[in-house]
Amino acid sequence: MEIIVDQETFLDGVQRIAALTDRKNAALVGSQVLLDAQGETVTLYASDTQTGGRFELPARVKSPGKTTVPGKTLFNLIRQLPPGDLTITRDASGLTRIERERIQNSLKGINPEEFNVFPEITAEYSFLVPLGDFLSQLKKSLPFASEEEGKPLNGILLTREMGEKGRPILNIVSTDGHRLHHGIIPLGEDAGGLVAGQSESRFILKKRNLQELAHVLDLDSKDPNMSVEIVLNPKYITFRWGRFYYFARLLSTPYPNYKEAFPPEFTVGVEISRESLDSALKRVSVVSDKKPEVVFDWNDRFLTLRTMNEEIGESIETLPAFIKGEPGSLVFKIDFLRVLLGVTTGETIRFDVRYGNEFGAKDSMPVIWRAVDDPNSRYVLMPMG
Amino acid sequence: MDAVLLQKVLNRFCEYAPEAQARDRDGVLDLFEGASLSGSGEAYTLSVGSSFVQRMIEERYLSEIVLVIREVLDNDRITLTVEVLSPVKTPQRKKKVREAPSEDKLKVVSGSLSMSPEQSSPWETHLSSRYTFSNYVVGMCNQFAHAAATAIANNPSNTYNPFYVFGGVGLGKTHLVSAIGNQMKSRFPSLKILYITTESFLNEMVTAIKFSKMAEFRERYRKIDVLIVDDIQFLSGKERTQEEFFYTFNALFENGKQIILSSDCMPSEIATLEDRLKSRFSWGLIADIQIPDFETKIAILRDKMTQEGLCLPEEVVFFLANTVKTNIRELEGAMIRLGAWGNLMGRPITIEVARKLLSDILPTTRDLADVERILAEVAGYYGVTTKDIRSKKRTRSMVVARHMAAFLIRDISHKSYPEIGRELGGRDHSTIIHSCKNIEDALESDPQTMNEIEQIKKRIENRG
Repeated sequence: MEIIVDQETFLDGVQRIAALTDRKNAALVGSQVLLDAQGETVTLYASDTQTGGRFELPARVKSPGKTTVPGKTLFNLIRQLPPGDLTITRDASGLTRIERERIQNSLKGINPEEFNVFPEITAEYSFLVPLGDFLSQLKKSLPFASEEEGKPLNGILLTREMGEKGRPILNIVSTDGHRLHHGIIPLGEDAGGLVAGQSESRFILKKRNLQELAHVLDLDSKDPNMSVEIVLNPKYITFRWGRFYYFARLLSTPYPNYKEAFPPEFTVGVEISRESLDSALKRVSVVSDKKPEVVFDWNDRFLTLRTMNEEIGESIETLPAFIKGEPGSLVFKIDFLRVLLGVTTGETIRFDVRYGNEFGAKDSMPVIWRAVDDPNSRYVLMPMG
Repeated sequence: MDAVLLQKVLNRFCEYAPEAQARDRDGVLDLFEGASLSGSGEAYTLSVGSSFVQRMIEERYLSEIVLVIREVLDNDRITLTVEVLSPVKTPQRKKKVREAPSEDKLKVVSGSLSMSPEQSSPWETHLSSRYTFSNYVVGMCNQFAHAAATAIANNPSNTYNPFYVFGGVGLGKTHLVSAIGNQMKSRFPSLKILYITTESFLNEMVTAIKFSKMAEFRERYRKIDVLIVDDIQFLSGKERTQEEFFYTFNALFENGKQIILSSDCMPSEIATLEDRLKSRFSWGLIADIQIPDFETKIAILRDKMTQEGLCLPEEVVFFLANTVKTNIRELEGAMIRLGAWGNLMGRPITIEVARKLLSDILPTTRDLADVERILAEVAGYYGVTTKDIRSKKRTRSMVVARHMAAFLIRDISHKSYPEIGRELGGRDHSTIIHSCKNIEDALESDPQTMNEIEQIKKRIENRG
């Protein structure tokens, strides 16, 4: 194989594909990137048996063929090279030579024939989702999924259904059992037709897969008109936009009915300045130190944040707030609140809760948060006991 | 802006509290952080940092603040308005620097019609002055559209109304409709001309809805003499915007105002566009701009070289005209890139240099093969027409050709299933998945299918 490719063009592809490789162990097949040069393009592949991606880029192919190189090393190397044409060849000993005038590198890889082949994925259903909306909801959702790989809640649930206005929507749901994010993406005319009663309308992906996907989506997020094509069958999902293609195996684990987390009505509603709450939390958490909770007390006009650490002291801060309902008090994990404020935007944030003795213990009252300016995302934080 | 006055007012405001230090303790004073108080006579304005603060002050503290201002200034007739300043990022707990307060009006999306109630300033057309008839190269591909555009520019509202021009990406639709606007502007300076993209129209409407300013929005739009809307196909699927545009269209049309629209397709081909709009768009004159022929591309390049002060060898100009097939914008971009390289490097530009410099935009077989070409070749191969492929007819030859067209568009142009569905006469994406699967199955069982695919692909490449 011998190709000549522009460094910037190549880096654009490598940064997408190398992000999908296993960075921890260079000896693994999954850490390798396959370069397949044919016609006037070189296609980069990364894959393990469960997930993978490819990206096509233009190149002058002097001699078609394949080679493999460790993804992370390739990315780190290419981004350090000066702009201009790179010559990439695979020599008889199996080394991949990357040359830029006087700069010469030889990288070891594996036999291209040993590279994980992409599975045959038959399309059974597809729909388009606006890239910007999808990325924005993913960024909000990812921090709320459980970090523990292998556990059901490490998955993120996506469901298509008819929204309240009779238009198809894509729901994105993540939870770790203590907090939850539910995002909605209105789908346009390419929503994929009727959605009622179809098994394909509900699917679960690993958090890691969507993290990888979000990383690559971010690189293309400047184009406001781009859409991502999502293709499904019962085992796999594929995402495609521009010259990038990504597949992942779906999880078949059960997922809790997230709709049950949202009470039909509330007795208390509180609106606060998001920025003021964020600043106040930063201040009160200095005194709380390692003690992770903050007490929210509210009356008819003010919300008071209170932390106490027996070794350090006490911190109290009052914020003007719009409050409906009876005065009350709930305890939240500061970290959870900080994450919530980190993913929301807008000036005003609101929480609603079915609060009162008749609704049981405080730690079983789901508190529903949302940014007032963003009707397409809502969050649940379970208070502490 | 009077910082001393605001400080006096806040000091007195704190004294109004039921207990000492309560305003500070309860975070109420923080609401005024970065605020400014301005005014003269009897009308004062308090500018604050966010709509949350504005609402809080208006609902909870306005009467007290007004009392305090009246007391401090010793004037019982003073009125106070609270408004929001545009956000300025400043570190927390620091005195914010604010601009003079702006009026509380609907935020106007860039590139759209001004929302101020009276046009005291000159009318903003949002037309780009670089698009004129004098630098619009006319060829076989666009001479009809150009002739109609010139007639409209010289005689607005009386010639063709609405004027609907359509054509592919980068073929000069924006240039043509803007040129009409610019010519009208110079010939009839009193006309209120507005150029707007459909996206800006939509954004402005959304903003108007958000701030409950729809009446103002409608009022402004209906005062226009010439409305030029670019990329009207983006109305597709946006029902609320379509409805609003429908009323705007009617109001302007009934008052004899000129409407000019551009799109990438015929009105009847805009998916999910309401029939009443399709019908109205077709009332006047519809003109198309086709892909320029070789000679026109050469003329465009020469014209552009003169404008930009560039000089490329004849063979490179020919190479560009031959290589960039369909998009004038890309053609001009490529030329400027080559010219810039030549100027910077001081080296002659040869075809080899051009090929190297433009390697990222030189189309591969995949890019070259647009859907129309694939359809034409598939139709030719199976002895049917592209219209047949897009039709609902289900004769065997048409069904086979349709399956093959869907498969090849997917394979070559990488379009999504829904996009292919739209290209093939508005079919559902599941039909396209079925078509592609049919060919994939045939590939496994029938070697003839592979032969057919290769032959058609060759024809597509040769035609490119």
